[in-house]
Amino acid sequence: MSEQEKTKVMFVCRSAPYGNIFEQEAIEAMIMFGAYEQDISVSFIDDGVYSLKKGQDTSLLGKKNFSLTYMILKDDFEINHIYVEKESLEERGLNESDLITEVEVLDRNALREKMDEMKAFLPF
Amino acid sequence: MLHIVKRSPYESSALNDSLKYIKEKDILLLIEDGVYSAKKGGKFENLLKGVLQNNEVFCLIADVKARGIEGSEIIENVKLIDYKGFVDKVCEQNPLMWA
Amino acid sequence: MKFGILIKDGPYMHQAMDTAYNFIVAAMEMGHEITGVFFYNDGVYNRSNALEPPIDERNIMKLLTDIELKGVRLIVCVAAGKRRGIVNKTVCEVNEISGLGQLLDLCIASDRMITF
Repeated sequence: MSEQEKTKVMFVCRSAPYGNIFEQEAIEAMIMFGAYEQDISVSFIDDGVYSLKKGQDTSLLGKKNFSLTYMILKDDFEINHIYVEKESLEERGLNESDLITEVEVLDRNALREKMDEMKAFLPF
Repeated sequence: MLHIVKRSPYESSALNDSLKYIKEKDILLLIEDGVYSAKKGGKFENLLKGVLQNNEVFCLIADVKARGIEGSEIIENVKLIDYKGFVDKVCEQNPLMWA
Repeated sequence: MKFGILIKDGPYMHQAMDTAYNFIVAAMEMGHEITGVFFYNDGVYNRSNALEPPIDERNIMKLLTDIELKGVRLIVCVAAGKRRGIVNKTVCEVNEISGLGQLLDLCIASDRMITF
């Protein structure tokens, strides 16, 4: 399939992990979508950036640590882009070195331009 | 883009978060508890007036009426639309729900 | 235009399903096509076959069946449904239970995808 024929879909992740199920079920959708050879991007803004924080240990919660999945999302599950909004990181006292995996840190304007290319948004 | 906000601005950052992404020609649509943003005299009146300088703002009339808000209590230049108007706005612009 | 719909909230607790229903009815009256409604997260509860609100209250189960009879596909995510006990035994009879691939298919097949 040529790049032009692919459908561009962006997950817009604005929820922090664990407090609700949005991050977990968003990841499950990302993993499935990766298999379909479309153009899938994931953007983390607002509290969504907490999902990528290094050092998450859920052993006392009795829940899976979903952050580990982000490390293999691009290579194993063929997600095309992982974007993180720079301003949301800064507001929360985080920077790129706090994140569990390599991502594209974009400022709001640059991320907004990526949004203009999308056919569909899936907010979580 | 069509930015849709359904949460009250008094309990959620959704309105503010959406406005960080609003660009020329984008539309802001307030539905459900989001319509409280458009009430005259509220804390968000000046913020919305600022948005109105560059963008169109719409409120879903069913949600406005249900909440006991009169048309005269809605900030000037915010337009009221019904569900068919909502559909039209989604046709015009790609929607993103800021929950 | 072709609209795909994603429902993420359950019935009654939030207004999402009601807003989506009114949107769908308006869109169909205007001659637009609904490519499908995908139920995800707590949205799967909207398709429980055990919803039994008081008789004088809107019945979301019945409202959804009405639009399904008009030819709209209602798709419950199998993984999100199983997690919440919405499975073949407990889901509305005429309903479709399917995988997340169907959600991506809606994104591909629709001019606009809207989330409630």
